[in-house]
Amino acid sequence: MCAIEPVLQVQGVSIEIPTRHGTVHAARDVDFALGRGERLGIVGESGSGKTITALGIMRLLLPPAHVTSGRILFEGRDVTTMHPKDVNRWRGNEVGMIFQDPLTSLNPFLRIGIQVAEVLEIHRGLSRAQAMAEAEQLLRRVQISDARRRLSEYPHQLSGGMRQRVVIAIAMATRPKMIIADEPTTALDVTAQANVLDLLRDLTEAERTSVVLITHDLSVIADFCERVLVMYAGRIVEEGSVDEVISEPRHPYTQALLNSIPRLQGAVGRLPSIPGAPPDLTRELQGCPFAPRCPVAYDRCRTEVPELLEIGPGRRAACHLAQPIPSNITLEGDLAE
Amino acid sequence: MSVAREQVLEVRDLKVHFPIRGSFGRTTGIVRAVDGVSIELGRGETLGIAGESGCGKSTLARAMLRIVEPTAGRIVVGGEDVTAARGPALRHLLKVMQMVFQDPNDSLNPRVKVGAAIEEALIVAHVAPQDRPHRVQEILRTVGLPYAFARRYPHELSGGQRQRVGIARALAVGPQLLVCDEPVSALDVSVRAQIINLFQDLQDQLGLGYVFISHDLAVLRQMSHRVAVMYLGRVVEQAPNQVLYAQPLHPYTQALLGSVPLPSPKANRARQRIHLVGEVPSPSSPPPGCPFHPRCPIAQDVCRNEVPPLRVIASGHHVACHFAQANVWAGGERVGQA
Ligand SMILES: Nc1ncnc2c1ncn2[C@@H]1O[C@H](COP(=O)(O)OP(=O)(O)OP(=O)(O)O)[C@@H](O)[C@H]1O
Ligand SMILES: Nc1ncnc2c1ncn2[C@@H]1O[C@H](COP(=O)(O)OP(=O)(O)O)[C@@H](O)[C@H]1O
Ligand code: SF4
Ligand code: SF4
Ligand SMILES: [Mg+2]
Ligand SMILES: [Mg+2]
Repeated sequence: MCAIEPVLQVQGVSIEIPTRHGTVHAARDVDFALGRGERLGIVGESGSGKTITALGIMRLLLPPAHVTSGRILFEGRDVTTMHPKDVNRWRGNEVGMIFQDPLTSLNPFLRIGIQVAEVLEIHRGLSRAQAMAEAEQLLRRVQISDARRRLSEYPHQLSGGMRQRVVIAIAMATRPKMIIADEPTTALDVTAQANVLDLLRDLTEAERTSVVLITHDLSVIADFCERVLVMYAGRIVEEGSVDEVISEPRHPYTQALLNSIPRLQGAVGRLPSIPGAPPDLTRELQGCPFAPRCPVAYDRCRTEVPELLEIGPGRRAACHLAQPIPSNITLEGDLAE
Repeated sequence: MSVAREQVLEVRDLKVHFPIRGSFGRTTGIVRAVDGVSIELGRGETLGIAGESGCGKSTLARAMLRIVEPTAGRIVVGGEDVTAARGPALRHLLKVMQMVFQDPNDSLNPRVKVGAAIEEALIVAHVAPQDRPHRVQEILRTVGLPYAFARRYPHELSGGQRQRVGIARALAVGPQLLVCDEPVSALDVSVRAQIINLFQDLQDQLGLGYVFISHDLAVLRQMSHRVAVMYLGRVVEQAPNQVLYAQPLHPYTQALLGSVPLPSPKANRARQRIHLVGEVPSPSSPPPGCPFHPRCPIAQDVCRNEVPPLRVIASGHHVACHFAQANVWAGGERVGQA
């Protein structure tokens, strides 16, 4: 797990969403820490609970979704019990957010310059003139060509990649301690993705900002993050440094995710896809939630929920086969280079 | 490659230009969304189309299906010139060639159940009423959905299931060829693998040809026999898969390959990532000469003045570059090794 000086500690957080069809257990006992300046990835299939977890951390859950247990500490302060006013101030000043669709973060009717400047006025107390000058600087820093002209343009006049860089400029404007980026490049093509990731890395490294990057793409994690959490059915099922998790995954789900990625190298054969679909989250857990899709499941997996246990320094896994510190499991060959 | 294979699609010098209208509806310029593209496709073959956002991939697809009108050029489908087809000829085109979209929501009516949506397509294809329920069942099975799904509404399906319905609808008329516009881009990794496998199974079973559009070069490598790379409305490189990924000769192809993150931190660190700086120029005012010259590391004077023609470098390998060569990006990093 994370070494010294955690910025964020998420302790046993569960999130439930009551619906007509039952209660969705969107996050189950999620537990992790984020170090200062660290880039942490959260990966998993659609519906695995990544966004819900991020929203829970930010106290942005919309009812009826709510945190049912656990604590969230930001620099030691308990966010879970913070007064709503203080939550707003905390989010505005100390956390930055980037979402998949930059248009959800930008107001379509306001010029880019105003939108960046407003954040600076509110959170850094700058005058309008100061804020505009700083906004231009910020747009330059996110490599927007012709920054002065862009100040007076509207979001729809920019390409998707540029819009996402404006969102990054706004997120970084308050010099936050933590950025939460939910699928920030999923809507972009490869070159725009590469530019956005490089930019985010450079800016956050310079300011020692911690980043939580959420994606379903392990390649993006491999490129950007230092540590990774793998989520399945609302639970963390594997954790470790990106190098270790990718070169030696210890949970069959992580291995399966890796296998299903089309490669730029090596022989082209049939893609080993994961059969079936993630489980219904309204059900109580009976055994390992991955068991119906797991190629190495055995009797115990269907009756006993595997706990998330430490399996090595900085590594955890929730799999009966991965504990305590087992011999290597190899599934369909090790495809990681 | 060139031995008497059955050609199902031939596109010659296709152009799609959109007028830009200023005030009072006056034309103040034109967007050259597709600007002289030639491609062909054999039976059971997949042609991948790659390129950044805005390079004209979707417009090309829509023009081939006559959803937008071509400005110039020729489209021959199943031996028939359909460039200006109307009425029955256009219906013939749509029986041979169908489209699959990125977001199946765009093509599925939220108020129409899955079964009825497939039946609509069967009606268009003149399938007799008594045969339709059976065909619906058969098509659902083909795309891997249980028959019970016929009674579901689109919102009751996952993204992957919706994409299966989108494919089912396209298959209803019994086409020979599908034009797929980013059909897996909105899907997460595991569902994407399932749908890629479905496309490949359908090709094996039905001998379908695909024009498969994606900005993800790893997906295209998995899917395609040949890949065409587009830039600003033109094909700048085209080659059989093994060749394109092993020896890309256009600087732009090399840059695209060099931007793809690899699922290995070591591999990502070992190579120097190529930074393709600047935005794609606007297709309403493309730069003179080679459209890629403002971003090209080896551009010379001739590149700023003369449009490089699409030259044949080797059998099936076409490159539009005055100085086509391997590994042009600084640092000697090798991109896209096969
Ligand atoms: N109806 C239209 N009128 C004017 N310009 C258009 C029209 N349709 C497309 N264009 C322009 O043509 C160019 C190519 O568009 P197209 O959508 O085909 O690109 P693309 O490669 O599919 O991009 P993306 O991956 O973002 O969908 C773009 O610059 C686009 O803005
Ligand atoms: N408003 C809601 N009502 C009911 N279920 C929801 C709602 N929002 C999310 N869920 C469910 O919670 C689970 C996790 O969702 P989410 O955090 O959005 O996953 P991810 O971001 O990984 O795609 C999913 O099963 C999803 O269907
Ligand atoms: S606990 Fe059993 S079913 Fe679950 S991942 Fe491990 S081996 Fe597979
Ligand atoms: S023609 Fe010139 S500018 Fe264009 S890609 Fe080739 S070298 Fe670069
Ligand atoms: Mg999400
Ligand atoms: Mg498109």
